[in-house]
Amino acid sequence: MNPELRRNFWLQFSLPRLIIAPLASGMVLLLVWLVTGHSAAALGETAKWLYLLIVLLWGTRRAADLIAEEVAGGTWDGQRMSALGAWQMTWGKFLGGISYVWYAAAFAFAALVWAQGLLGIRPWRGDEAILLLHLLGIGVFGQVVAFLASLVVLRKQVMRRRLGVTLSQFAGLAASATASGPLGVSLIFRQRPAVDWFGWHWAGDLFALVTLALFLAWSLFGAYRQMRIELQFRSIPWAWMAFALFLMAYAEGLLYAPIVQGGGVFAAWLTGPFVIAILFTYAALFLEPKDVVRYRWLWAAVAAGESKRALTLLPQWIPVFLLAALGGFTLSLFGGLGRLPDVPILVGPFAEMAALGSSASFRVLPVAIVLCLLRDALVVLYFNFGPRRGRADFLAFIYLALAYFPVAGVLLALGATSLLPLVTPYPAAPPLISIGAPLTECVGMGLLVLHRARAAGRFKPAAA
Amino acid sequence: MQWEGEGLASYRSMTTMIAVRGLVFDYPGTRALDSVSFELEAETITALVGPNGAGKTTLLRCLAGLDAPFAGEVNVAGLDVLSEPRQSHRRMGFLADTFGLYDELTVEQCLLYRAAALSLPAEKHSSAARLSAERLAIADRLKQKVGTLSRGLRQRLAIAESIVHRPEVLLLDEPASGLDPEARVGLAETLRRLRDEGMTIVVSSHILSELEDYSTHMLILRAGRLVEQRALLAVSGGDSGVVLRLAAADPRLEFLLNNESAIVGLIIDGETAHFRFTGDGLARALLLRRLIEMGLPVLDFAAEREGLQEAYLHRVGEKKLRP
Repeated sequence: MNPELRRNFWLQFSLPRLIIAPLASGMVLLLVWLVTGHSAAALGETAKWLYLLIVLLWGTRRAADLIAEEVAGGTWDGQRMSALGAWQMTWGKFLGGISYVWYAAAFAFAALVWAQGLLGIRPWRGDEAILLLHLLGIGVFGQVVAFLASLVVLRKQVMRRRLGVTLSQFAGLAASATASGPLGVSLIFRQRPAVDWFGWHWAGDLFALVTLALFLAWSLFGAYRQMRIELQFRSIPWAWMAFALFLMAYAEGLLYAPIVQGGGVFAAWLTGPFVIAILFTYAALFLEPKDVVRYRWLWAAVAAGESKRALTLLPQWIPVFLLAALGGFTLSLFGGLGRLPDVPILVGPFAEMAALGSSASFRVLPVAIVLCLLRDALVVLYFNFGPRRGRADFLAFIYLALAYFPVAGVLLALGATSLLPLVTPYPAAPPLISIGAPLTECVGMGLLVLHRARAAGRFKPAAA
Repeated sequence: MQWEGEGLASYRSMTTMIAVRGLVFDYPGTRALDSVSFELEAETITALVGPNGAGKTTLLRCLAGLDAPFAGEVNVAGLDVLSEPRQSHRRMGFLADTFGLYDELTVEQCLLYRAAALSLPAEKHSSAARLSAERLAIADRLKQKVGTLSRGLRQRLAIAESIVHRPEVLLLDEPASGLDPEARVGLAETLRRLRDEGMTIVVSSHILSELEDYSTHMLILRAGRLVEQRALLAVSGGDSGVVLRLAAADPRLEFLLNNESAIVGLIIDGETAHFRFTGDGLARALLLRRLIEMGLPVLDFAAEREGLQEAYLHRVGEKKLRP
């Protein structure tokens, strides 16, 4: 047996705990059964909500706290000194850590299945089976995402345990909530529209279940990759890029029908992946630790021509940024975003603004977006290379949010639209300004980042 | 997986158990380790000393493969720790200064878990756990919950966990902090015994007195640099310092020792004589025999060691005086 799993079983399944879980669940369900005059429907509904309460609220909290409690208890280094592989450690710790939650939830789930049987529903057939699998899936998915988030938070080392655990739990809850109602397929409301993916027609709930399974697999894989980093395995950072590519393909499948209906222009096919690459760049930028020392290692490895070492040190945001840049330049080469209003789903509320732009502006707009992205990345690095590393990401986020919203809004309200490219890509700006403004900012920020990186390399002695 | 001495035996033929070359570790704005290089022989206890913030813990964590350095190589028991961290962990034990234990588990469960996590074969888990507990004198506590143990017993359990897989190398960071004097004596005895059984041990501390009892070698770190590496105990044979102490001063002592050709640098201070002996171990034993046969009241006849504290202060003080 996986040693980590067994250790968790020892910790979780003491005799009193084995008794209390079925006792507490049983008492609640018995009370409902008696109070409602033996109503199977009421029992089923209560059991479902009890199950969700246990696996989502308690389960995500528990999953988010698995690593944090080891760190707080001083046992994490001992675990990292074990000879277990990253995958063994990941599944052993995760499954073992949440085993008691699922033990408690199993009674509520069994009561739900029993109640359905009383109502004449065969839970193992067709739609009912999909619903039950979905119920199980969102629980596991939320918990895996919370566990993954806790590993990400652990690497950042900037927040207290309770805050880190709470943020990780919220990530898990958000994932579960998203998974319970994508594409109108809601666990609670059970709407079932059909889904068109690359021209294939799927029943909505089946598509949602398959999607959930895929995302669950990715989140588990993400936890495994994070665990590898924790256990000091050297890895080339391709996983984030691979997930971005997967999501691009997934999204293209969903956008397939509207794009084809809009004439199938090349720019429309590229827009989804371009947006995803941008979002993934921002996500990696804020989620990864941005230790100036590591960047200096990277620079030293590049300068020494040690390509393998440089690859292992490469931050995750750089490959996806390069992908976004490639997408941006390709979009510009193939006519920019000029014909996107033909595909309303891609431009959404920006369709009106799109009408402001001249053809030339729209051609360079993707490049302007890429330059603004690079400038933002440099802003984030600038703060992280400075003395206040603990709150650097928060400060960078505030500065960027201020630039994109209040400042841009004020400029727009004052009619100073010629200044807008200084803070945000603006389709109506002349192409030269649209490109020149963020490019100049990139150069300026690049010099500032370089200055801070050099300052961090001027070492003080370790001790007097 | 080596077990019950077979692995140790093969390593005894190797003189170097830990080899570190050009280790550099940076924190933002601080170089914690600056081109640190050294080699440690097998079956030694090395005291890793230096002021607070000198880089001792960082060095130990790099040796254990818990932190990756900017540059350099770390080789432990023939394995490259940086490229094979998990395999290396099967060969070494590490006890952090802020170690933790699972309070809700029993002592036996803790040891069984560590044995399994360090990839010992399943059929050896129980015997390994028991053996490790016996070595640390906690075998009578196997069924006791960890949360009920005293500080000293917890420390012993933590060491027992670190050695349950019989590693060739044991790294200890401030192992005696928080221990009472009795427990410290027990720790010293334990470490000496482990070394006698073939283990190579590195102990970090800034309290020199606690290291003095059992260390054979010393590494001095200062401001992230290795200031000195030296042996503390004179080995048997070879050109070694000897201290001879009599129960009472005897005028014959100087004459006798001056006539010994293998003795150089003789200093006599009352009933005590210090000298260097150029003969081998057998010649030294014969010298002792002759002295006793001559009727001298020999109280002590031992290899002379420079006190760790004196050696450290001497070396650090010397460094401070340099421009």
